[in-house]
Amino acid sequence: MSSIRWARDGDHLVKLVETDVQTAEVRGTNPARVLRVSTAGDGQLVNDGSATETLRVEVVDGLRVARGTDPADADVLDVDDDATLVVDGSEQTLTLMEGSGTLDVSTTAAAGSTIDVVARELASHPAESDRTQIDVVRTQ
Amino acid sequence: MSNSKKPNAKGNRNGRGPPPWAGNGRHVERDGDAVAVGRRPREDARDRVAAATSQIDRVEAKLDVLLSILDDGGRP
Repeated sequence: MSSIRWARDGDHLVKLVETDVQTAEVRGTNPARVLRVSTAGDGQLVNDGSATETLRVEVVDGLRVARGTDPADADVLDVDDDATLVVDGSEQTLTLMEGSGTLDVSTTAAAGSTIDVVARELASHPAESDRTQIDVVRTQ
Repeated sequence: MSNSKKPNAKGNRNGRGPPPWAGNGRHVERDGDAVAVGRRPREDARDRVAAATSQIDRVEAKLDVLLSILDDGGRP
C-alpha cells in the first residue's frame, strides 16, 4: 500500500511516495509555477486590423495543479515577473504584476489561419509553459 | 524535364516549398501592451504600387518599398 503526496521545494515540487516501510522523494522535475494563457473573448479575431482579442497570462500554483486541480481553476500566485510570450513565432516580453498581465492582439492575417500563442517561461523562476490559439475570421 | 510540380511561395516550381526558416511570412509588431499580426509593411507597399492610380502615389509606394528593404538590412 502506497500513497503519493506533493510538496514544494523552492522553485520545484517534490513527489513523495509513501509506503508502510519508507518514504521516497522524487525531486526537481515539476516547476512550482505554472503559466496559464487564455483569451478574454471567444478566441476568434476579425482580420480588419482594429478588432482586438485580449490575451491574459497568469502564474498559477503548480502545487495545486500537481495535486489534481485543473490549471484553469488553480490559484493565481502573487508574484511580479517578466514572462516570455511567443506570438506567431515572435518573442514578446510581458510584465506580470501580482501574477498576471495582458496583451491585446489585432490582425490583418488571412481568414482561416490561426495565431499561435505560447507563454514560454518566466525570467526569474522555472515555470511550466502553456499555449493557446486565436482563430482569424473574415471581416463581417 | 517536367515543369508540373506545384509552385512554392517563390513560384520556382522546385517542389520543395518555402524553406523552414521562412516562417509563415507574417509580421508581428509590438506597440506597448498590444501586438499586431499581419502582412509585412513591404507587402502592403507593393500592393499600393500595383494599385496606384497616379504617378505620385506610385512613387510614394515605391519609396516605402525601398525604405522597407533598407530597414530589413537590404534584403529584397
